[in-house]
Amino acid sequence: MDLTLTLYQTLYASGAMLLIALIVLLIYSKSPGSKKQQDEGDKNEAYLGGEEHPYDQESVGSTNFFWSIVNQSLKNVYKKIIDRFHTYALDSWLLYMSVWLAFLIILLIILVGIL
Amino acid sequence: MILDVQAFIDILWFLVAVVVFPGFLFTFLAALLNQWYTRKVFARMQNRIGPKYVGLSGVLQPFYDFLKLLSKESITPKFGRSRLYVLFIGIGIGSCISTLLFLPISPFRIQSSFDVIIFIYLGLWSSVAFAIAGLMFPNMFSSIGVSRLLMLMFVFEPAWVISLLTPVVLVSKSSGVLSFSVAETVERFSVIWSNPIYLVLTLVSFAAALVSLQCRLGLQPFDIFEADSEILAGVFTEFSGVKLALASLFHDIEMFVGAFLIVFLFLGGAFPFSLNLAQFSIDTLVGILVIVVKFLLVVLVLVAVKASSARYRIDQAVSFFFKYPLLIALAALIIATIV
Repeated sequence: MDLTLTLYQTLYASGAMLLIALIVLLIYSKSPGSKKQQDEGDKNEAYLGGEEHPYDQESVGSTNFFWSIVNQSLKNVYKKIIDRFHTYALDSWLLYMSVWLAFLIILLIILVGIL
Repeated sequence: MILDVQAFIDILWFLVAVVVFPGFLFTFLAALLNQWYTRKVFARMQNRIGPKYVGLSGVLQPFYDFLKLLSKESITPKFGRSRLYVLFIGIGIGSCISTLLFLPISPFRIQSSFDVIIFIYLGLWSSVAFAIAGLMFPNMFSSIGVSRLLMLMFVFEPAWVISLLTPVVLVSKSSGVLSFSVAETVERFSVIWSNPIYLVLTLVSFAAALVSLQCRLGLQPFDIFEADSEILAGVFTEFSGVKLALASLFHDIEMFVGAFLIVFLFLGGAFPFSLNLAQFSIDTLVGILVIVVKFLLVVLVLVAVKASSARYRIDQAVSFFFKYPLLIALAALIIATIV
C-alpha cells in the first residue's frame, strides 16, 4: 500500500470538500437575501408555534441517544429476564440476584485475569 | 521544470473537476433537474400535475424556486449562527460532491489502494454536517429534529457503509490484489455478473443501500426528523430565505449523489457498455444513456416508496433497521469476505 499516494488523495479529497464549502459561503454572502433582515417586531424570536420554551434549555441530551439504542436493541433480552425471574415470588427474586451477582463476579475475575 | 508543469496541469484538472465536472456546476444542474423529475413523478403518483408553468413542462421550476429564495429576507433568530450554519451546509455539499471524484467519469480521479476509506469518510460528513447545521439555531423543534436525526444515524449510516463495501470487497477479491478501490470496482464490474453468488450478494446489498438512502434523505417512511404536523418542520423549522435555499439544494445534491453512487457501485454505471468521456463515440453516447436510465429507475423506486408509505415512529424505524437492512447488509459483507 502506497501511503504517500493515499496521503495525497486524502488531501485532494478534503481540499475539494473545503473548496466547495467556500463556493457555498460565497453564494450566501453575495445573495441579496442575506443582507435583508430588518430587526422589527418579534421575527427574530425562535419560531415555536405558540409554545414557550426558554433558550437555555435548548440542547440535545447526548446520553438519551445511547440509552435509546440500548433500550431498543436489548428490549427483548430485558423482557425475557423479567418474564423468567420477576414473578413477585421471593425465591425467584433471590435466584435472579444470585445469578446476576455470580455473573458480575465471573466478569470481574476474567477482567482481572486479562489485565 | 517538467515536474512543475505536470503539477500545474494536475491542479488545473483538479479545479475543473471540483468546480465544473463532475463538481459543483454539473451537480447543481443535475440535482435541480432531478428535483423536477422527483416532483413530477411524485405528483403523478398522487394524481396531480406537478410543476408546470416555468419552462417546458415546468422543468425550470426548481431553478426559479432557488433564485427566488436567494432574494427573500433571510431571518436569523436570536442566538442563531448564520455563517456557521452556511459553513456546515457547504461542508455537507462539498463532502457529497467530492465523492464523485472517485468515479471513473472524473477528469481528475482520486484513486489509490484502500481509497474506499477516504470515500466512506467523506460520505459520513454529509449527515454529520447537516445535524450540526441544524443545531445552529436554538429552537425546541429543531433540537428534537436533530436528536431524531442523530438517533437514526446510528442505524442508517452503518447500513449504508456496509452495503457500499460489499461490491468493493467482491471486485477487489476477484482481482487477486486487495486494492479496495472505488474506481476499480466500477471499471471491473463485469466480474460480479460472471459469478452468481457475487450477483446475489450485490443485489442484497443494493436493496439495503436503497433503504439506507431513503432514510438518509428523510423520505417517507423515514421523514422522522422533519415530521410535518408533529414537530413543525423539525430540523428545517428556522431555515428561511437563502438558508432554506441552501438546505434544499443540499438535500437535492445528497439525493442526486446517493442515487448516482448506487448506479455506479451496484449497477456498474454504463455496464454492459463502456464509457470513455475523453473519446467521443456512439458507445459513449449509449453509455451515458444507460447511466441516465439506471439513475431515473433508482430515483423512481425511492419516490414510489415515498408516495406509498406512512411515517414510522422513531423506535419503529430503529428496530426496522436493526432487523432488516443492517443485518442483511452485514450478512452479505461477511459472506463476501468469506467466499
